[in-house]
Amino acid sequence: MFFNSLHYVLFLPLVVAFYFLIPPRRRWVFLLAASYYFYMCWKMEYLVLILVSTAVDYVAGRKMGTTDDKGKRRKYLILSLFSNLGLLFAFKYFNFFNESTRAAFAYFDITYNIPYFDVLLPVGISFYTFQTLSYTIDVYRGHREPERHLGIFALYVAFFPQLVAGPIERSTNLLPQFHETKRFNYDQTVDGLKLILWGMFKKVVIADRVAVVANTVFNSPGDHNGIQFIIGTVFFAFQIYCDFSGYSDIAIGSARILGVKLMLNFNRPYFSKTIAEFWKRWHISLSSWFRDYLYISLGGNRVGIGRWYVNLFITFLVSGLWHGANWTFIIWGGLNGLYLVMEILIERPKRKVMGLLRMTESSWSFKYLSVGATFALTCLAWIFFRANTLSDAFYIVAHLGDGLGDFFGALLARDMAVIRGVVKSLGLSQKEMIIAVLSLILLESVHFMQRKESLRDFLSTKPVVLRWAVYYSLVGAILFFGAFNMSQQFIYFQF
Amino acid sequence: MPADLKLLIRKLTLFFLPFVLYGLVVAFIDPYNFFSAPGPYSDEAKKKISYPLNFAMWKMLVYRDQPVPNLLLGDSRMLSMKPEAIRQTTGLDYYNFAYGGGSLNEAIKTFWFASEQVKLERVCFGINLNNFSSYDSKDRVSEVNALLDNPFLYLVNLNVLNASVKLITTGLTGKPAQIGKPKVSREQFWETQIEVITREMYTNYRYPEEFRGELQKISDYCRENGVELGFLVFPSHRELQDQVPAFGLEAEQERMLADLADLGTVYNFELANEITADRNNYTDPFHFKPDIMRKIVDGVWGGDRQFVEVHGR
Repeated sequence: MFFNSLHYVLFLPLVVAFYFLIPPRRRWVFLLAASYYFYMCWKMEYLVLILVSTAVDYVAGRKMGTTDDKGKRRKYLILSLFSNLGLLFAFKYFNFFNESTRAAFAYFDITYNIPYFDVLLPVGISFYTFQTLSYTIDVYRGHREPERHLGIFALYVAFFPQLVAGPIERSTNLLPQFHETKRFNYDQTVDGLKLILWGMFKKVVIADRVAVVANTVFNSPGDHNGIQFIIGTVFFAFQIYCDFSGYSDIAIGSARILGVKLMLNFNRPYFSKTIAEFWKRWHISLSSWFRDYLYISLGGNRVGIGRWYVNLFITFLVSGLWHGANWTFIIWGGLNGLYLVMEILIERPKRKVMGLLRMTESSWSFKYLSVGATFALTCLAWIFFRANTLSDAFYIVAHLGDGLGDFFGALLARDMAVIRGVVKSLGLSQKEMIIAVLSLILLESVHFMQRKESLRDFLSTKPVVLRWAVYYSLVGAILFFGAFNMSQQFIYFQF
Repeated sequence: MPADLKLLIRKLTLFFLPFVLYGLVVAFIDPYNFFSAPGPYSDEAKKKISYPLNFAMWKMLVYRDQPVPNLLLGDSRMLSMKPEAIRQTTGLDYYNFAYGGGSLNEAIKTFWFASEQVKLERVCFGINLNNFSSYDSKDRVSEVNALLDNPFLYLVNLNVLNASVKLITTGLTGKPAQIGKPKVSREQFWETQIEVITREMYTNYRYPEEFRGELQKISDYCRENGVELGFLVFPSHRELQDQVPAFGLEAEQERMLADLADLGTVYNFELANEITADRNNYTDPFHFKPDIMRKIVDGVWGGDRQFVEVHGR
């Protein structure tokens, strides 16, 4: 069941209505059943994996709670790590490592007989395994008490708004909320609906439309050149942002209607002035997960400088691998790790240059330059993330400058045949391209306004006529400009 | 029921009421006869306005209700082929499923749409080098396919909205709706077609490997299902024909003809002869006049080979 489907449009109000109509004591049963139903709409059999993960982590948590013996507690933690990461490895990474090993063996002419494991990746497996792992690690570290109520714990693992693509919630935030008695609240429902509306706009008006350009360019790099690669990559940057943050908005909005507050997952990431800042604003629930459970476990920055760099690099390499079992994702992660290390290394020379140019961090020129440079570096890394193969990615990077002189020459000479040729070759009609560009301008204008306060807070102080005009415009844009016939699956479902 | 919930339901109903009313009005007007129910406007009035706004939507919805086993697919050149003229020659009914400004991509998708409606017997694609190119992958067909699967999309389609508004305003004011581009002189238009349009097409020309593959699938389907498959290469004016060597695309043109001949019967009218040399036979370098259309019908369906070369299966 997709958030942007009619199925979900019917499912959510029914769940909300029944949830608030049944007695509070039994609500968890209903919400758990609804969550399992939501998941089973994809593939019923894979619910077993969620049940296994739930059972193992519940038992591991309870057992850890019965003893202060560190050795015993560690055993239960290892059991949880082994079972969750084992599931992930079997369903997500086995074929990647298997095929990589086969290729290596073939290189040395050695026979390798382990067959390909023909299995479909269970949707959301990377999300719910990481969520349950955070619980057992928190219990092991003594950051929280084990959850006693199996049903509530199962709901924590499977809560439908964030089950298949996050935000990856922490038990310290989510579990206590399931113990609270919720009352229907008008303000929080309207707040949730506004978030859903904005998320839908980002997904169906922007992401699905700009995806056509990204797909056209990345699916046949040999047919394109520099300017098309640049436009395709920038459009992909916005596709993945609008797709994933749109999903997160709908998830957070849906949960809010049910009275549950999920964590913020995106905070205007393309306005970041450094790569480090970008990772504090992009997929926050995953970045903070890696920070808290991997980077800090490796020693974080409380080690020697060389080891610190290695820690950063490893964290991003693993983050790349989390996204997908493919060398393109690993290189993407590695590249981001490299950016961070470089950022630390050039900090001093950067300050010197800023001093010479009499630039301060608060000056507009510095902000624009930093935001532009960070966006360009992020886009360069996105090429590896989106490319179908590693050789495609290197081909695109190597040909980024091809034909740029001709294109800008044509632009200066206003040679419309060349300009229209480039636009048309990107897969969107002129009308669709105008809609795409205008909606991107709208998106970034909203983000620019949001640097001081959220649009919802801003609107709440305005007269009802203005508020309703904005809501009508958004609903109208979704209905009339939604790219329904170009509909794409949410990108992060594949992870 | 909690008071908060009542308030929410009341406000949501009020908020969505205009959208519901809009949906009802559009469904009542039904400018493309999607629901095939009686409404306030005649089919003639609807066709006058809705058809030029979206050829594909009008034709596909007509075809859904009255499928025909013989098809003509292509762009405005194929659109000018009159099924009546073919009937006079062959006694067979053809459905002209070509679109103004149509792309090969659209013709391919339309073929598959038609094959789902009826057992096809004869299909003729209109293909020239300018539309046998990856450059033009325009697609108005998928949009219609999507709304055929989900009627809700019909109600919120911008073409449907546009046609509904035009039908209402035409009905109220009695003035015919202005649809289409303003006219320029024939000479100006001719120059634009060569200097701007053709230059744009051929500067950005890319041999359509993907569409070649799609046509192969169609050819295989036709062979398996006993469908007669033909490709009609229309006669362009010599000035337009000369643009092919001017842009260095002779090899691509030869390859196209050879590829099409592998897939079906090719009727090639793109030749140097008295038809293509005379500007009077054309409205612009691409589009021939009705007299030439009759010669094409005779060449393809009447066995007159004076102006055509026939290749392939």
